[in-house]
Amino acid sequence: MSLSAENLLDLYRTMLLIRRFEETAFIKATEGIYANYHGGMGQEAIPAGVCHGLKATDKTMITHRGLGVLLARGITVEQIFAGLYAKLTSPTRGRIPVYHMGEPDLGILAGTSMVGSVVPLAVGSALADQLAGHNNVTISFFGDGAVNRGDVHEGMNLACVRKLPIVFFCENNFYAKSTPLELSTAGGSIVARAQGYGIEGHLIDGNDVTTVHEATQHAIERARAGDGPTFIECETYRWTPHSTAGDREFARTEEELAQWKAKCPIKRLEKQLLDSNQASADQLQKIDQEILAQVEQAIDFAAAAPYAPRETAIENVYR
Amino acid sequence: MAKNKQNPASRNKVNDASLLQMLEGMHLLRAFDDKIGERCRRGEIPGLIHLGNGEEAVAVGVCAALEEGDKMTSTHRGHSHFLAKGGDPNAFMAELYGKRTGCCGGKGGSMHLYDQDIGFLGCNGVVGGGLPIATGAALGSDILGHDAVTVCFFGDGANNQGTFHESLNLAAVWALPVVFICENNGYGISQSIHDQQLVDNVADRAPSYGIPAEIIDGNDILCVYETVAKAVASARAGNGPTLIECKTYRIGGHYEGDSESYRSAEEIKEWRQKDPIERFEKLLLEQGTLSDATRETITKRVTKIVDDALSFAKRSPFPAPEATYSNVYAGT
Amino acid sequence: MATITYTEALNAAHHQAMQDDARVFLIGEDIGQYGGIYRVTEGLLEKFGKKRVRDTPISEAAITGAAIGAALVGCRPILEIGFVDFAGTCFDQITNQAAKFRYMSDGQVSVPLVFRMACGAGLGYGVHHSQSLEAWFTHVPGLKVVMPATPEDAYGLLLSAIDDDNPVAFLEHKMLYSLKGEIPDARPRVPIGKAKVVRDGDDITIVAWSRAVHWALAAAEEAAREGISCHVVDLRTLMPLDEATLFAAVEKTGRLIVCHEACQTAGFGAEIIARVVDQAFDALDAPPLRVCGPDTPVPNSLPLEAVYLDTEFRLMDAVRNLTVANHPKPKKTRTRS
Repeated sequence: MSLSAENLLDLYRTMLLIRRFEETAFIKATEGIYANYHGGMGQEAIPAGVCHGLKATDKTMITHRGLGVLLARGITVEQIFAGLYAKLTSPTRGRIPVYHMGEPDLGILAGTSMVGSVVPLAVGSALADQLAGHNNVTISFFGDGAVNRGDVHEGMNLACVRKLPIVFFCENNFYAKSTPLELSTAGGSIVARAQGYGIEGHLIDGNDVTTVHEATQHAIERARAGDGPTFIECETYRWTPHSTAGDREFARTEEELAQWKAKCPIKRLEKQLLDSNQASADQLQKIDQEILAQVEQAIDFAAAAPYAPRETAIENVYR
Repeated sequence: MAKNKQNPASRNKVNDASLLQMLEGMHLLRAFDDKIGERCRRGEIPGLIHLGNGEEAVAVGVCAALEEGDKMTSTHRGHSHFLAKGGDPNAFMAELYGKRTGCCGGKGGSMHLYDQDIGFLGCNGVVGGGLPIATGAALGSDILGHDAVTVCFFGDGANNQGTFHESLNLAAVWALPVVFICENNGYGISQSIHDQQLVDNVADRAPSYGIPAEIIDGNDILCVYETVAKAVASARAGNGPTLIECKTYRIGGHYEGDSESYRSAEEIKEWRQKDPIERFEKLLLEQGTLSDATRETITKRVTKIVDDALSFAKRSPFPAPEATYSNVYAGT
Repeated sequence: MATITYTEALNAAHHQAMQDDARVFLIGEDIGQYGGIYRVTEGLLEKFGKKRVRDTPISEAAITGAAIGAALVGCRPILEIGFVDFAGTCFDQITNQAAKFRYMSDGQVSVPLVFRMACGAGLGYGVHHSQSLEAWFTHVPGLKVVMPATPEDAYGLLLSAIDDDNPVAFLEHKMLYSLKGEIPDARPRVPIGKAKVVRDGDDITIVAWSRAVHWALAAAEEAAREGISCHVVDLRTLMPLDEATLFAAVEKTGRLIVCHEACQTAGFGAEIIARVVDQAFDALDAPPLRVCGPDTPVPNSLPLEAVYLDTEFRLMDAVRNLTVANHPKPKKTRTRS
């Protein structure tokens, strides 16, 4: 089932928004505006493809590299920059890193920095939906670095034995900070581990947004039908280092990066749209210009906004 | 500490003598657990006691395949592992009674037996707690250039614990000399394994780590012995870990005092018919290795060991109160 | 004398220890080729090889347990957990396993393991990368807890921790990594369990550790300009606590402030004051004070994080508060019956 031109343009717009956001976020981090940014440039097809068509009551749980998902789900770029700048106007009033923010109205679950620890939390969300009889799905994102954590094992097993409405989505970008996959993960395959929990696993091209979308929709249908979890491993690559906090790149080579840049998800969709005449070059450029203006304005808003007052530091420890 | 003279034969020599040794080993474990159960019900033994009646073939079969320097980690249900590895029966019983002459001076107890001399790196009160430690003992062996293999016991209940996943992955990535032995008795306390996971077998998870696995009848001692011997040899040769899942059953409850409301009398009866000791005796009688007279000798010897251990434990003194404060730290 | 950074001191101690003893090995995430998040383990993989410098998957429970198991069979591992905040993921292995093997085996074995963790706020890293959690570990019999405040002590205490046959939680404040300090050419070991008087004074004793030592020294400088003389003690080791130095320091001035970055309630400052009240009560001329972090998680936004860290400034208020003018020396000596 192929997506309509309108849907494809939506996907394009989302990916480009994420890309322009990521580019600027990375630059501002290197300028020292805020500490430690974990960039997701190059991985845009995943947030765009997964989140397209999700209901606001479906849930997503992200990692430190998941700001693209927040944008795809309706958090504005203004809010995210306010979050990165840790200003009063951010969704969290500057209290926690913005990638940990929750937004119940948009189905965004609050997360944690512990790699892999987000999985049991996501499982909990799916459990709650099942107990309440809601027809919602939870998407649990994590990277290749997380797959050897005990929490992931425990969370996946629990979700599988209870047939919870959850999709386990592994963004495999082949490196956990400086550790390449082959040095950390035995067995040679992440997706093959799905069998150990008795569920379907799918390995897909994480840089093809329509493939990502279709695989997600299939998994969501299964979940809503009560058939339980699906495991999807997406192969992708980040164009920037693990983070901007003095991260040194030595395990990855220029050649490898170039190979993956050649598979840029945005360029691929752009080509598809242009070749099939579903969009014109002018149309796409106009989208880009709008986005660039939006991002620039967001930066200005964030820079001008006040910080939260000192007294707020001790608020909300307890209810 | 006196060594347990019941040490099984080395893996190279499974002759009649070693077969009889294995049988006696199982009888010893059964006799101990029966006696301990009886004394628990009399209120003589404090704390939580987890007995392994019905699972003897695994402990004895595994230990028969090990060399003297090999290491082991165990679980909360570790009496059999301790004794089969060569733990002293008197010190064992005294430890359960909390006496000063216990293998841990009365400070460890049933779930925390330890014997450095025989490479027994502890029973463990935390389900899954021993998996990382066994991985580490194998790592240490690798770094120090020892020829030791580590055997790691765990139950079906532990295989859903995060430590199972992390340890098997780590051991596989580094090809460590460890053999993971799952005693799958079908229950994590009251919960059937089928309620705790979708896959039928623990070993179904081995391909996730790229390690070989075997699923075997854990009540067939020779099958246990042969399978483990191969895995131990493979680990010693540098080929990394193996996962061996032994299907077995505990005839008693999870612990002494367990209501056992979660399983049927029929199921227990079914498994009694697969009793490892009876099966092995039948085989040995049939092939002429065992005679009634020998059987009686074994029973008498084993009974004496258990009785001696019991009276040793009962007449041993408790530790002095000051012992509460000793050995918190090394060097003090 | 040489001047080196805290990081360089730790790195040098690693090199020395691994050279001296083939049983020492390193295990942790991103410590090998990457040289560690804070560069503490730089150069060690190249020098000592993959067998002894082990990069691991993200599997804290397994790698902590692996370090323990290796220690049980004769190794002397150094485990790096990048942030103390992650200790929750391997808490069972640290507190139930490492800390208890000696006791439960009644002395048959010990666990000579050093687990290094970075702690502390100040970089805007937020709730899960900024905590000071030493109180989690001081509450576990069987663990030693060490927190060096200077490069010299980082070097000397790390070597002592590696020598020690017990599991040692070695906590490094991340704001101290770039701190420069002098180290004697002889590069001595610093004994575990020995506090140090880092500034002599007569009026008020400030007891601190890790980054708070530097706050205390800064406060002492300012106090001196106001005519108040502070006696500053750097604990260096929290467990075992050097009571002799602590009580002597309280006896010297009769006035005590304990300062730590970690949140106040049930922080280690409470333990220190409890012991002083219990065993050196008569030496006190005024109520002992705690100046500690607020009972909140660490906020992300830098101005809010600064609120979290304003302990540094409240310390000066406490010093002014505790003077003889505000708390006259009592006429009768209070004694406990």
